Amino acid sequence: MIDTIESIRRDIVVNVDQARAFELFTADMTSWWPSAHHIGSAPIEQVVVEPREGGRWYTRHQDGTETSTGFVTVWDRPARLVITWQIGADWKYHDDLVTSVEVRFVPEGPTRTRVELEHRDLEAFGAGAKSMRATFDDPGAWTSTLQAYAAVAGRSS
Amino acid sequence: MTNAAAMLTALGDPMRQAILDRLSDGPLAVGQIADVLPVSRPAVSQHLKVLKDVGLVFDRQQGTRRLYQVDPDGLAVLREHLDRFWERSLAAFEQRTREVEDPSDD
Repeated sequence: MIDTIESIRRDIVVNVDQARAFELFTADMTSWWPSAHHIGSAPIEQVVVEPREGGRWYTRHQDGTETSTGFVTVWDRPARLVITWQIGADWKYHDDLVTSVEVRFVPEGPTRTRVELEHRDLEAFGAGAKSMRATFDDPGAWTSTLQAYAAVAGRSS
Repeated sequence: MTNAAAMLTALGDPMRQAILDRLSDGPLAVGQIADVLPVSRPAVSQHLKVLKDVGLVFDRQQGTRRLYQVDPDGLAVLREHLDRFWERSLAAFEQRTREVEDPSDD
């Protein structure tokens, strides 16, 4: 049961072209991200998605501090983006708690794009768990968990 | 605090995550959990109480033992919480695409 939490899937159609939709979603995330939804000590100054694979996804706060959300695992502008969401149960960032958010930008016309979002691997929340067990057994073990994850996350779907 | 927030807070403790993970393989008694994790029985009982209070596990009496197991409905609440978050966020994103394309509308 804990291993089979269904992915969250949502989509929305916007009246801009694919490239613009991708641009606004990533480079302009600050403008639409729910302002109350952060884990920092001060209000959001900027939500940043670094435009490359391996780039950080983080929030800069008005007091100058930063909080991490995850990393870019697929940067396929303007069609697809996969970023990890590593905010845990305790509203803190965890290296070893990895869920993924995949966003696809599907052209439906010259100025019309369907944005499909999938937030998956949610069982990680219930069982940070698998990696926690690995931590008890072997302090270095979770690195292999992350490597296995990266292999899966990098695979095109 | 909402159910989801209470659950997330409860799961913030690494030992509670570990206990929940053990239970994901099937129902266990307090002693069985204490045997496999570096924690005392009273501590396990305390953690289970927290997990039970927020709806992530439930217990039942079986003979002389009390068995604890994962409540599948509990994690569904967490999922709903995220689902609503993305619904709100995408709606805000859609609104933003209107603002930048049609600045004269408002």
